[in-house]
Amino acid sequence: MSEENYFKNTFLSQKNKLYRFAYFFLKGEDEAKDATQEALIKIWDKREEWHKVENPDAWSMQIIKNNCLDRLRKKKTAQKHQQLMELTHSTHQNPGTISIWQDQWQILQQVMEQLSEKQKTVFILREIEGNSYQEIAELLEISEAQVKSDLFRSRKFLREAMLKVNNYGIGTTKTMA
Amino acid sequence: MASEQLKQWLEQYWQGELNHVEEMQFRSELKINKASLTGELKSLAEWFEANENVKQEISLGDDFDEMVLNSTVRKNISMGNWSWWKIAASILIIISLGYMAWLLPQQNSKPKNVAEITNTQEDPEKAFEETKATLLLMANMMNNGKEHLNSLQLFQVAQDKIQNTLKQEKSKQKEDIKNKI
Repeated sequence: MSEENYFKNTFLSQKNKLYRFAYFFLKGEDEAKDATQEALIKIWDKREEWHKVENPDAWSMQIIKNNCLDRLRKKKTAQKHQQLMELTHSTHQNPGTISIWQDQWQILQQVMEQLSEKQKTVFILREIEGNSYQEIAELLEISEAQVKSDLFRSRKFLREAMLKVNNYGIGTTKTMA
Repeated sequence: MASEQLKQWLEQYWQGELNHVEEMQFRSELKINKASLTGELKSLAEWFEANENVKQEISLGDDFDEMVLNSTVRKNISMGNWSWWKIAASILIIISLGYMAWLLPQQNSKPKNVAEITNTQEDPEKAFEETKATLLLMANMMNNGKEHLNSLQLFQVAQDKIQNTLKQEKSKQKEDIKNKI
């Protein structure tokens, strides 16, 4: 297989996964897109090392994660970091879905704000991407026990956020019709 | 699926005790029974559904692929062509320099029409003789020049004398005219 085809099939095909990961970390479409592009370019530039990579998914995930962390470090704008995530995608949904989407989005934000970078990574990979414990452990080079521990912690926040939104009306359902 | 089983899975889910297969099954059951669920189970069903939507909504189009390929694979191809040009140019320069390096000594080895100045550095006496001869030549040339200068000086003196004589004659003529008047 040519380098180009290998790149397309193995790495470029993972673009959405990488993009979502960057999106939840950087909280902006444009920056997430830039980070994803940058990560893929870096992967291409390191093509001499491809043969050494045992798990390309984990490797590409490491690259996007490092890219995101670098960007966050550079920004160092805690204020921006705390801003609400953009809700640009919900406009295509029907009114009922939008309200659910907004509630869930609010829950997601509340959880993410309370997690460390590592816990956030575990949470995204498990809850959004649906990776197994083993896969996450491999991706992040940590033990499965650590994955479960991080997940337990993030689900505790998830449960609290759900209770808050559903019981106290903080994220009251908005009718868009 | 009995609600008791779902509640049990729910608790295990919060504790992070469900294995991957069980969790997939749990998600699937919540999706199927969503309409009849209440409380936390319903919230969780909505959460899972929203996460599925997130995967659909937060994605990149084909234009992104083009952008990435242009900055990677295709850039590399054009860079590759450029590299060949560079190699070709380098070879050409090397050949030219080689030819020049071969040609110059060839020209230097040819006999020259102009009288050559022999290298006398290795023989001091010869160098002295050469210098002496050169200085003598220069002295002769300077003496010749001096002779020319002397003749020019004589010419200047003669010119001055003629001019003075003419002036005196003119002033004498003027005085004679005045006396006659």
